Parts: sequence; C-alpha cells; structure tokens
Amino acid sequence: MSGAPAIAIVDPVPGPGRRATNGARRPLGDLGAGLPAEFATYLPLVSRLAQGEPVDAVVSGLVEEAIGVWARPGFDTFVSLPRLRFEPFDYQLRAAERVLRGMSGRAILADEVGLGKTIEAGLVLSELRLRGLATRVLALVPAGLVEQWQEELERKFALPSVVAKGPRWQPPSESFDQPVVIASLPAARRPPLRDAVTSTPWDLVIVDEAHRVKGPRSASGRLARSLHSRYLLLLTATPVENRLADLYELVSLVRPGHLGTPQQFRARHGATGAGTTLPARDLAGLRGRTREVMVRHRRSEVALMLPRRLAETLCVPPSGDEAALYDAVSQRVRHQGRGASPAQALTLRSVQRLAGSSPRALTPTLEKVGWGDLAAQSRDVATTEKARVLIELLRRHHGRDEKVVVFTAFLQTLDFLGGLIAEAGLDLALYHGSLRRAEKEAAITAFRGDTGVLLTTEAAGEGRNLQFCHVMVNFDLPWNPMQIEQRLGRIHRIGQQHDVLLTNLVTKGTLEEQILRVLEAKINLFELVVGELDMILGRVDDDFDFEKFVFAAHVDSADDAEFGARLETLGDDLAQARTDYLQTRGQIDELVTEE
Amino acid sequence: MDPGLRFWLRYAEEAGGLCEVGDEVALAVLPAGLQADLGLPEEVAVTADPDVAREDGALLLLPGHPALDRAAVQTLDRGDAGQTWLPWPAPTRPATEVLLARARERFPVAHGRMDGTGHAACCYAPLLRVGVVVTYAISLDHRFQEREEIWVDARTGLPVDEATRRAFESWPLLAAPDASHPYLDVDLTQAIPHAHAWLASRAASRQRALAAQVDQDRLEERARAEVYYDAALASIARRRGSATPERQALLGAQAEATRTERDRRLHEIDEQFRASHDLRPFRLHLVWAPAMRLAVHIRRGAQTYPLNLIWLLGVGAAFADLRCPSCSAAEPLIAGRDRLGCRACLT
Repeated sequence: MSGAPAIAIVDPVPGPGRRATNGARRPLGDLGAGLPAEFATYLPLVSRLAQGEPVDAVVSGLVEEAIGVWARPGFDTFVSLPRLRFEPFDYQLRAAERVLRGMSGRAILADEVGLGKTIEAGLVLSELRLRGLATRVLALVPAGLVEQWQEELERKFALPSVVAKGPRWQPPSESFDQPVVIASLPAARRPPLRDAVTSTPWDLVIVDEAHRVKGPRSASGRLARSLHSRYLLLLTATPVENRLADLYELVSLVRPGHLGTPQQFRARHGATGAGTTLPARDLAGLRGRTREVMVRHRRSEVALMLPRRLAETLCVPPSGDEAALYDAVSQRVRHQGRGASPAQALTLRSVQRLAGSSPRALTPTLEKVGWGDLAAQSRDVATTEKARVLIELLRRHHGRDEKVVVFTAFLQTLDFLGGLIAEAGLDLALYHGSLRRAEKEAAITAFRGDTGVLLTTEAAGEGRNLQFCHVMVNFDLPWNPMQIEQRLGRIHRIGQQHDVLLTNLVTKGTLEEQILRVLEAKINLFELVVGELDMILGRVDDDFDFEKFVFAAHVDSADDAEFGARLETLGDDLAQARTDYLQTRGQIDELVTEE
Repeated sequence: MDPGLRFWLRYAEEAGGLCEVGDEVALAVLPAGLQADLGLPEEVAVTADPDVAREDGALLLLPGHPALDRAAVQTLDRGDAGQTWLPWPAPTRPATEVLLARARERFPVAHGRMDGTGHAACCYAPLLRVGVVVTYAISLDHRFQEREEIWVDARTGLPVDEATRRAFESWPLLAAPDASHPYLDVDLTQAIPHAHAWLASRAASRQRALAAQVDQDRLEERARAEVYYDAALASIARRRGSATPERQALLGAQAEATRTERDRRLHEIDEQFRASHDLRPFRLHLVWAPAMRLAVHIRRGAQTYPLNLIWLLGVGAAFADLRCPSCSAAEPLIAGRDRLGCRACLT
C-alpha cells in the first residue's frame, strides 16, 4: 500500500524522549514479541495489525454486526424487542424484567384479566430463548386456549409452536429452533402424553390459568408437580380462590420452601381452610413474601382503557321454508343423537351448527350423512332472511362510510354471502384459512384501503389487527362463547379509537337464539372485560366444554322447552360463577397487590 | 431486513458466497468451505420470518441458530485490525511559544524549568483503539455480554482523554495518509497491557456493581438453606437423644449425611452466584493522529533533561500525557539532581 508506513517496534522501555522516526519496516511477528503471555488473546489481532493493512470499513461493519448477533446484554436490555411484531406496554416490559432479574425466571404472573399475562410470559420466553437459556419450552393451557396460544406466539413473538397431541407424540428433537410445545391441560394429564411431558427435561414451563394446578392431589396439580423445568411461569388472575392455602400451593410450586412448610405457614398466618382467603396473622409479611415471586397489575394502575362494546342482536324471523328445514334437521339430529357414538355425535353436532348458518353450508353435509330428503329440502331454500338482513345492514354502514367485518364459521356460507354482497354492488374482501399467505395479506390490505367489507371465517382470528374497523357482524354464532370473544377481540383491542358496534344475526327459533339469550341475560357477555369470560367458564368446571354441553342438552331434551330449561340452569351457574369471580378478585387485591 | 439475517448474508458474501435478496427469502450460494463449515448445502434459501420458513421451507435464521452463531464467532475471532489515518487539519498550527507556554502549564516540573529547544514539528502520533467484548457471569442464570472500547496512546498506553477521543471519533478515517510527516514509534508492549488493564478495571467495577445486586439473593438463599438444614439436624439430634444404641448409630449416620448435603448445597449456592468476567478482544486499530512534536529541555541548575511533548491537533487539541522516564508511572515529574523522574523514583 503506497504511503502506508511500516510499523516500528521499539525497545520495551518506554519514554517520551525518543525521536520521531519514519519507522523501519520490521518482520511481521515482531509487534507482539514483547507481549506477556497473559495478553495472548491479542496476538491474532496484533499479527494482522503488523501486516500494515489499512482498516477495512467492511470488516469493521461486519464485526459490529457480529457483536450484535452474538452478544447478549443484561436483562435490563430486552434483546427480543426488535423481533416483536407488536409494541408491548411499559408495565408488561417491567413485569418481564422483574421475572428475569428479580425472580430468576420462576414467578406467578397474576395480572387482572385482560392485561396481557400471555404477553408478559411471551416476553420472558423470548428473552430466555434468544439468550439460549430456554430451548425446550412447554406451555400447558386450557383446551379452549390452545389455538389462541399458538397464534399469539407466532404472530406476536415470531415463535414457532407445535401442539402436543396423539398417542405417539414425542418432544421435538434437540435443536436451537425447536418449536414451543403447547399442550392442553386435560390432554397432558392423561397417559401417554403425561408420560412424554413428565419425562422431558424442560427449560421453561408456562402454565396458563394456573389456578387449575393449585391442588396437589388433583390430576392437573400432580402433573404440574411432576414436570422438570429450570424456569416456571404460572399465569393466573386468581392465585387465591377459596382458601389461603391456594396461594401457598402456587408459591410453593415456583419456589419450594419460600413460604416454609405447611405447618410453618399455618403457624405464621393462621387458618388456611376453605373460605379463608385472608391470613389471620401477619398480612404484611405474607404480602412481602408473595411479592418476591408474584407480579400483579390492576386495570386501574395501568390506565388501560378500551372503548365500549355496543352489542345488538337482530332476531330474524325465518321464511316458512327455512323454518321447516331447520325444524326437520333439528328433530332428526335429536332423534339420532341419542345413543350416538362420539364420532357420530361430532357429525350430528356439525349438522346442527351448519343448520344455524345457511342452507348452502348445510346441503353438502346432509348429502354426506345420507339424509337425501333433507338435502333436497335444503337445496330448495335459495336464500335466507338473515342474509337479506345482512345486506341491508351492510348498505346502511356503507352509507355511513363504516367498514364492517362479517364473521361466519363456515366456508360454504362465506361463498354464499360473498355472491350476495357482490350482487348488491358492495366491495368486499374475502379471508379464510385456505388462502395463501400473500392472498391473506392482499385481503387485509384491500380492507384497510377502500374495500368496505371483510367477509371472513374464524381464520381472521389469527392475530390480525383490524382496529381500523369498529363494526362487526356475526352472521352465525359459534356455540362456544370463547370463540365469540375471540372474534370480538379482533377489533376490540388496544388501539381501537371508536366504540365497537357488534351485531349478532340469529334466526328466530334456533339453538343459537337461546344460547345468546342466556349469555346476554345471565353474564352480560358482550360487556365483559376481555378475559373475564374464561374466568367465569373455568369456575363452572375446569374443563367445561360449552359446545358439548349445548349439543348434549339439545339431544337429551324431549323438546325445545326442556332444552331452554337446561340452558337456563347453565345460565344460573354462569351467573353465580361471575359473582364468585368478582368477589375473589377483590380479596386477591387485598392480599397481593402492592399498596 | 432482520439484523441477524443481514449480517449472515454479508458474512456469506465476504466468504465468497453469492446472495440474492428477495421479498420474503434470500437465496445464498455458498462456497465449498463455507458449506462444510456451517453444515449447509450449496444453495440455501434463508429467512427470519417463521411464517415464510414454514410455508416456503426456507431456513429460519434467528439468533441462536448454529449457522448464525458460528458466522458471528468466526467474524469476531478474525477481528478487526488495521491502521488508519486521521485527516491533517487546516494549516493553522499553534506557534512554538504558545505550545511551550501551554506545556509549562500542563506539565509543571518540580525543581525544574522547561525551555524549548527548537520549533515544534508536525508528526503522526500513534493511538491505539482497543475493543473487547466482556462476558459477565453474575449467576448461573445471568450471563451477558457488553462491549467496551478504549483509545490509548500507542507509545505509552496512557488513555486518550475523553474530549480528544470524542473529537477524533467524529473525524473521517483515511485508508492512507493525506500528508507526509514523520511517524512516532509504536510500543504495543506498553499500549496493549495498559489498555487491557483499563478495560479490565472497568469490567471489574461493573461486575462488582452487578454482583452486589444479586448478593442479597445469595445471602437469603444461604440463610434459607441453613435454617432448613439446622432444623433437620436438630430434629435428628432430638430423636437420637432418646433412641436405642442401635438406632443412635443410624441417626448418627443420617446426621452426617445431612451435614454433607448441607455443605454441598451451600457450596452450590455460592457457585450459582459466583460472579466472573472475561474479556475477548475484537478490535485493534492503530490510528495515526496529526500532532506536533515539541522538543524541550528540563533544566535544573546545570543539568538538562531532554523531553519530547506531543500536541494532538484537532477539536479537542491537547498534549498527550507523559509517563515518568525512569519508572513509567503516570505521575507529575520532578527534576532531580541527577535524573528526571517522579516522586516515587526520586525518593
């Protein structure tokens, strides 16, 4: 290199009195010759420096990037932040930081419902994973939340996941990018899945709705206690439900011995029996100890305000043909459902649900099950009153320049409605699970742009942010209220600027009409805070399957009146569960929330 | 583009590969050496998007992937070394008299008087920019890396003051000199150990601060374990007191085993919270800075001691610090009867 000086080496005795030289070129290895052995790590660099080459900006840049890739800063810096596909709230980041720095990754996340315990757990998981501290991760979640977890992990945290199910399921092989394993709690506590998950050494286990594992003698509790994991996150909005011992059990799971032995705990804090959620003694001491392993935020602390939900239900009288078809199908299902095998019951349930959606969706299944007479009857019903009302509704919103997302559970109904909406001259985008990723993106982009209607199956659930729209129509209603909640969550979420308008379309005289009546009257479903519904359903029964219950009630009832009575009883249970939940929430605040 | 993926593609290109970046995936054609090294085929589609990886079958290159980590480690192993020049500033230079006055102010010499011996002359002064990645282990769970850098005088190892370093960092770096001036000698045997000592001292101080944060956890964990085992031993002792001789032996063995377990557990706790750090050099830049050399004499009576002072030109213009010519300490100078030195070596 012209003009570049060779580097001169001088005698090891330093001194400012030496003269400046132009430097005589010396053999390359000499630069490091006098370096003591303890500085050997510098020798490769010294040797390259001695070659006299200029600094290479490309290499310098590459080295900077390599540090960014390889180095992991302390837990006061979130390395996963740039990878997230959303912006977490400060309190969620602080919670994750507390868990990582102060609780060594073993904690109870006990925020009030709707504040994002899943987000906080995801942040902890992402940080541990990016730092190479959590490769094998298991999330144990209620059966109804498996898909939601999968979706949140993938869409928000870019973390692949796999659902553990089936008799031959094995944990993924050891590799850096092995997916997060999601297992439903009911499935994981039964062999053979139980054996597979309990014999795996996990790095991190997350238990959602962890109040379900508090009892050491319950199947879920035994499962949680037989898992091996370095890090453990228990997510529950109700760490104490009926008795103070609940808290002791959960704390002992994340940090055994933290509250002493059961005898010591009783001696320090008094009775722990049923109905006693507050300690008789030393509340302050217990609060202090609990805070060392638990994070809890209240809605009032984090000023998280969501707009209102305004719901209306349009109960549409069916045409004569429609009513006759629905009644015939319902009678046949009820008749054949008695004594049906589980597989047959599943098919019949599907038929009944399709009947509540549209004849177009119903016909192919009727043909498949061999009910030719009903299939022919169904084919003759070209359209429905509900569809006509939908078009009127869409025209009204179009006139107000309001975007509308229309949900249906079935692809055939989506095709049917797509044709009607297009005929009505309204722009629409279609979204369903069979589309390719690019097509899905295009549909959302169009809807964000000029297109006024997004017609979608549950697939739009997949973490799509649709806050730019505040009007939603349920063309048909899932029997499972959690699914209704998930649909609502697409537009009723942080970032929504308007009150959310929800219209439920139900045909008079259908099962859906009765379900909706109970959910609205008994628990005020559409005004619940996000997440509260799950708390209420969980209190009825840990593994309560709403859809199964509805179908069984329909089949086992002699007539619609009896079915109505059964739903009413369920509604009363739900109402009681809601009362209990609200009462428990207050007690928990007193016990564990920071003053 | 994801920073990790961008790095990996640049790394592959630097290593002789060809890369084509598409909308969702990047296609890389790797030379044979790199294929073997990273365990990848010749042609590989890569992405940082899990959806794309799943649907298009592209390799998901996220931090933690061995191919990405290996590329990073190799890049750091190779490091960033070379020499570079700072541009020579505008021709206005301080007059020799001005420099001499500043030198007298900056380096007061006890019992001596500083006189100039000629005109200040332009030269290139060598500065060494040393970068290391420090890995801190504060506990078994808490390991992380931070980068540290220091600029030192490559003749003496004394750190370049903050203002001067910041000024130089904002200057463009040249691959060749833009002026022809003499170069001062480099002494890496001084510069590297001193730079390392500064970096190590900073790291040690940070480690102490971090360790203090978790020390309370350690003490509490120890206290909990001690209470637990003390209670266990007390219980054994109680039972032993009223046991038959045969059972006493059994309980004695149990107590012994409990004591062993207690010691092991306490040792484990200490190990778990043992803090340490490790320095890994990744950068060695020899930066030739424009400077002026001022030759002076320190006089004490008839004795004169020659001294060269280096004035670094630029925004934060300042003299480079001096070391004692007798013992290398960075201490104020004293003109002795027979030599120039610092208080430590003259008394």
